[in-house]
Amino acid sequence: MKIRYWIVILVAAGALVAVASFAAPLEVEMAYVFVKAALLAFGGGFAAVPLIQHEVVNVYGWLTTKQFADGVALGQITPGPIAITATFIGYVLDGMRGALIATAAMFLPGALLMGMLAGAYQRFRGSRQLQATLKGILAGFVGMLGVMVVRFGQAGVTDVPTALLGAAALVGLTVFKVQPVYVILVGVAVSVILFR
Amino acid sequence: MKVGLLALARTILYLGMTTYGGPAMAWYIKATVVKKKGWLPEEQFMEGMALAQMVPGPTMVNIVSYVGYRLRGWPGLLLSMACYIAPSFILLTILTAIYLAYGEIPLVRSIFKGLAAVVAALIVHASFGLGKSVVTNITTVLIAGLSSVMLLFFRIDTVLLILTAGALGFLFLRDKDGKA
Repeated sequence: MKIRYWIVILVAAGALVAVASFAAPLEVEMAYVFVKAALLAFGGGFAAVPLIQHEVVNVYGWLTTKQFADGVALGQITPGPIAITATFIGYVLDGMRGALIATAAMFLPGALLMGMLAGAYQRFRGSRQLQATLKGILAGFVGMLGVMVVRFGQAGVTDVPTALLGAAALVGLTVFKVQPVYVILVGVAVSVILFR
Repeated sequence: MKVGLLALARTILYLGMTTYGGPAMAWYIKATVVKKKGWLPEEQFMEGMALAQMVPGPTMVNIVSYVGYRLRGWPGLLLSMACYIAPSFILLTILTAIYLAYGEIPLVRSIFKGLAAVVAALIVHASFGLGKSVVTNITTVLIAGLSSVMLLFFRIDTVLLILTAGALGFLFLRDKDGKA
C-alpha cells in the first residue's frame, strides 16, 4: 500500500482515539459494534442488519428484538441506505450524540476503504479466490438472515391478523415487486385500522 | 473537468433524498453522475460499482463515496458520504424522537404492532433475494445452514462466523460453477 493510505489510517485512528477519550463507555462500545458490523457487511446494507441485531439484541442487550424491528421499519421509511437503522439505535441509546457516533461508525469504514482501494481495483478484479471467498461469506449471510426471519417472526407475527398482514406484505414484495417504502406505508395505514 | 464541491454536495444531497431501496438505485446514481452530469466516464463508474460490491458496508454509500473520491479526492469522498446520508439521518432522528416520545400511546403502538409483521416480511424477502443469487449449489446450502446453526445455537461471534464462511468459500467454491 502507498504511504498516503497509511497516513489516512493513522489520522483516522488518531481521530478515533481522540473521540474515544471524550466518549462515555457506552459510546465506545457502540462505535465498536457499528465499525465491526460495517467491516463485516460484505454484500451491502442488508448484510449489516443481522450483524447489528446480533450484537445489539443478543450480545449487549441494548434493545429487544421488537424495538430493533421498529428501528428497521423506521429505517425503511427514510430514503437512502437500510443501515441507517444505526442512527435509530444510537439515538435511542444516547440521544443526538449517540446517533452521530453510530452513524459515523456505520458508514465511514466502507467509504474510507473505497478511497483506499479505488486505484487498486484492477489488481484484484479477476481473482477467483476472492470471488469464491466473497460467495462463501454471502452464503453465510443467507444463513444469518434466516435466523433473523425466525427472530423477527417470533416478535412480529403474534396472532392471526399480524400473520395475515405479514403474508400480504410478502406477496406485495415478491409477487407485485412493490418498493419496501410503500409496503411499510400501507402497513401503517392497515395497522391503524386493524389494531386499534 | 474539476467539479465544484458545492455542485457535488447539491447533487449528492438530492440523490440522498430520492434514492429509496437497494442496488437498483445504482443505475439511477449512474444516470445522474455519468449521463446527466458527465462527471465520470461510464467505465470508471462501473469499476467503482464493482468495487463497492466487494468492499464491506452499504453499497450505495460506497458508490457515492467513490464518486466523490474520483472527483475531488478525500474531501470529495467525505463530503459525498455525508451529503448522501444527511437527509435520511435528519428524517430518522426526527422519527426516532417521535417514537421515543409517543411510542406508548395506543395509536403508535398499533402502528408498530403491524409494522413488526411487515418487517418480518421484508427480511424474508431480502433473504430470498440474496439466497437466489448466492445459494446455488450444495456447498452454499451447507455454508448457509452452518452459519444459521452457529448463530442460533452457539451464539458465535460474528467475526468468527464471517471468517468461517469466507474460508469455506475459499476452499470449496473455487472453479466449481464458473464465475462465483
